[in-house]
Amino acid sequence: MMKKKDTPASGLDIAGLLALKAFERPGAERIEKNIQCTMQAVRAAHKRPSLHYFPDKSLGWMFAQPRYGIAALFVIFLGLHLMQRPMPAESVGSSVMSEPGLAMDLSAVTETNRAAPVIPPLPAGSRPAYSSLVKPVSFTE
Amino acid sequence: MSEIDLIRRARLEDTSAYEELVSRYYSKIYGLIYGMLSSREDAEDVTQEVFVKAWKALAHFREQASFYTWIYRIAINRAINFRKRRNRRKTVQFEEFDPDIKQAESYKEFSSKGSVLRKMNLSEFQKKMNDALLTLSDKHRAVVIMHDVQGLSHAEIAGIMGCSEGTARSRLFYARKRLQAELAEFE
Repeated sequence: MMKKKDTPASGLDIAGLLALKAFERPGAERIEKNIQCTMQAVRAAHKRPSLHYFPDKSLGWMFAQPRYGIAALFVIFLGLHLMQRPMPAESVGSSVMSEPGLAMDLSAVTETNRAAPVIPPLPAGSRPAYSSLVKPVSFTE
Repeated sequence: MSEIDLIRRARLEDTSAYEELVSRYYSKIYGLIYGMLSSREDAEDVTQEVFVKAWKALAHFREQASFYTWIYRIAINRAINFRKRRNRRKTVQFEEFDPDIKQAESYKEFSSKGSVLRKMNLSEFQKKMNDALLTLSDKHRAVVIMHDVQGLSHAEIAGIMGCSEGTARSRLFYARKRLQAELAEFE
């Protein structure tokens, strides 16, 4: 198989001209100065860690040791779950209500074993608004 | 101290170990970014950004990978992002040529009778070459700088760019062809 050529067939020696670009470079003193400036910036970034990069450093171990990472994730999810649905503070069992939820005549229940009528009796002289088409009948007939 | 030892110490937040790494790679990274941006001030700023970014991301560096491949990749991405977010300065300052250039074989060849550098001075040539490089796409320029200026192999370039060797070769071929058209007046 023919190998593809890297250089155009003819004309100017571009690769040779580009090789001259390698001499476009700063002097040793400026390189040293730039390295010092760069290290100042690195140290400043080290002292003042950005929140954006926070996981880069603090969670490095998590990616290096996946099993610990998975265990940590499990603990985090468990914590979040408990935050949403906290465990009851008291043990499960009978509880004493400090305030009655529904007003009820307890004596009536205990004496007759029947709850007091909830529907209030109609005032005297009033009739229920039955339809004229419906004839009231007794269920006991 | 070996490179991997320096990296391990730097990961433990030892800035002196990282300074040693910066010293080893500064010139190469600066050369690459300068080639990509053709501006001395921008290249200095972006090179600094690259090393700060690498310091912060050192926890993600895998020891199986090569440090220079990793940092070259950061440098190329940063240079490309820089060009996207910022227009070129109106007045750019180029890097000065090292006096050693006059000893280079290619310089002697191009300054011989009837050749390119005979027709123009070095700063004129520098401006035309940098302008021609800026006509290339970022990926083509990165390949041509790494291969023809920095002397990296096709395999190394492919590793850095995350492409096949064939793609690296074809990008280099296309980039040279385009530069040849841009610099046709030198022929």
